[in-house]
Amino acid sequence: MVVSATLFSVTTIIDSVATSLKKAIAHLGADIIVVRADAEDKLMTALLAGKPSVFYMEKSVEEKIMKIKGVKKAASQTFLKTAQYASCCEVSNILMIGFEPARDFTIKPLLSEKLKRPLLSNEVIMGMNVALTAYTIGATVKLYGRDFKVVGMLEDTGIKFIDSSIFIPYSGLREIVEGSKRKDVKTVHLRKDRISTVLVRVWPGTSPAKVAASIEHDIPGVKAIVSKESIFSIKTQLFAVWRIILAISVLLWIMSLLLIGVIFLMIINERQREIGLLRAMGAKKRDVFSLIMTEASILSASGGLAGIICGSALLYFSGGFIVSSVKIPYQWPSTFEFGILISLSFILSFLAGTGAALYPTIKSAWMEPYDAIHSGK
Amino acid sequence: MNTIIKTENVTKVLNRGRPNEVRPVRDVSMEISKGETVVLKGPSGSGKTSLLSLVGCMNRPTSGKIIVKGKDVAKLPERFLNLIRRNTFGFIFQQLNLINGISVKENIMLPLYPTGSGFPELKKRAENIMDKLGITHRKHFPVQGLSGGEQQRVAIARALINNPDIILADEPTAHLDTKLSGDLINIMKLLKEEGKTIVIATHDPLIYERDFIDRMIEMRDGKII
Repeated sequence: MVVSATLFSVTTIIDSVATSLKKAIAHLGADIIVVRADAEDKLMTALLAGKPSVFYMEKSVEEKIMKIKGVKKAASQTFLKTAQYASCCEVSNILMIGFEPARDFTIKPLLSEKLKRPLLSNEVIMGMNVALTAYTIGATVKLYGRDFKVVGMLEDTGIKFIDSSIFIPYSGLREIVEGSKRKDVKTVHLRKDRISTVLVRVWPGTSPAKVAASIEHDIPGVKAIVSKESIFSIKTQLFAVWRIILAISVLLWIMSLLLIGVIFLMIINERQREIGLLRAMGAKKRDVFSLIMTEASILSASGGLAGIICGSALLYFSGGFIVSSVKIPYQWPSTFEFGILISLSFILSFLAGTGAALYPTIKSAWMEPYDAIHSGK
Repeated sequence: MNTIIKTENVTKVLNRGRPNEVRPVRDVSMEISKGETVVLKGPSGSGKTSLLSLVGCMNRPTSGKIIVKGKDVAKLPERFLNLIRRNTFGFIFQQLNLINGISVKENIMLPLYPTGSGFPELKKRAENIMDKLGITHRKHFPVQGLSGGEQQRVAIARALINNPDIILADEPTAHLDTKLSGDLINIMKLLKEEGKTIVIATHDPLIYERDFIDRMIEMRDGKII
């Protein structure tokens, strides 16, 4: 039970985190993400935990990146948080991501319904989580005292960073900054020449790593994060954690194997007289073997199932807490993946139970009836 | 003479080659005829129970031949020994060896399960034998709640359920009072009348002094004397 609960819950968490990461970066649609050199951690926190986080660099970086060899497209984004506990904003503490619609190549592809015209300055696109709070296409949302019309909703990506953000054109963002100078609105301190990130797409056949190196070389003070490498690096870290947990699980498995073996040895020793009696009455070794192994199988199967149920309950009730405490995104695996994880955990615990019972069962079934009766006295 | 059990120079060695090597049965040769009631007599440790277990195919001899109904069972493969144990022998153990926690009927039906007979057949045979031994009214009781005499009858019923040709009884009166021992002897007499071959290992004069005993084989230190 312990083995299947551990294996199931840990593997499910790790698998879901890896999947979420892959999806998060894939949904960004960029080969390279450029941020201020000291803002890499903040970006990762925003990406992985969906925690609204703002950081800025000069807008000129975007133009400089465009000139670097190998860069096909570059589009900047500027992050701004909605005001918390202020009447000027209908939604509190949500990340607003400003972007230039003409240059954008990452947000529009995620729209659930395509927008066939340019985005106006009083229009926004909403992530699925924000939209779920009451907004539909055509609704109005008040941000820093200005009304914005919701003209698009992104598909459900399962990534908090995308799903919990409002996407606003730069023109709208500028209107917010200008409008915030009014007395009844909380002031937004955001200079016009500031951006948060530049998303870069490289030409096909060009190495993103080389372009990233060129960006860091040519533009001082920036960090160019290669999407695939960061997936790989996080996956490697996760894999290291997974290996440690796997080692612990294997150790647990072996310990359980020994423990169940000892328990079965004791149970069988206690029943040795009965086993001897059965043999004396004409039961075959095979009959005794299958009798005990059937019991071991039922016990192992119920233990395995109980473990999976406990693991699932653990994931259900504390999975969110575990994941939020380590600041990583979390998505339940698909039904198919779930099926595989459940089957694997079940098979392993079943094998542990039946494997452990094997030696005492054989030892007992192969004893001469007379010896069995006498040793059981 | 119609010999049903024959042993030729049977020896059993335990812990062979070790300092604690023992020989509970040494070079035993004997013959028992069909329908005969024989007592293996001797003090504790004389080898009576060991010889009984060898004859009943519950253990294998180290050397020698054991011929049961014309077949040498000493070297017979396990699958044939199962059949012989199931169909030829009925065992009455010294400690009764009933299984606690299950009912009288279930204890009695235990030897029938390996035969693969259908449940109605098992039930019918169990009902018959319980009737014969007067324990039908107790059939659903757990055995640990029965009196000593009733437990003894359950043990006998279990030994007889397969209608064996040979009854092997190991110290059957060891834990019984005189009254219960008398009851057991009466049942033995009935079995003898039915033509069963009975081999009793005992040192209880209540048994071996009875006139239904055909012959006594006396043992000491694993040998027939």
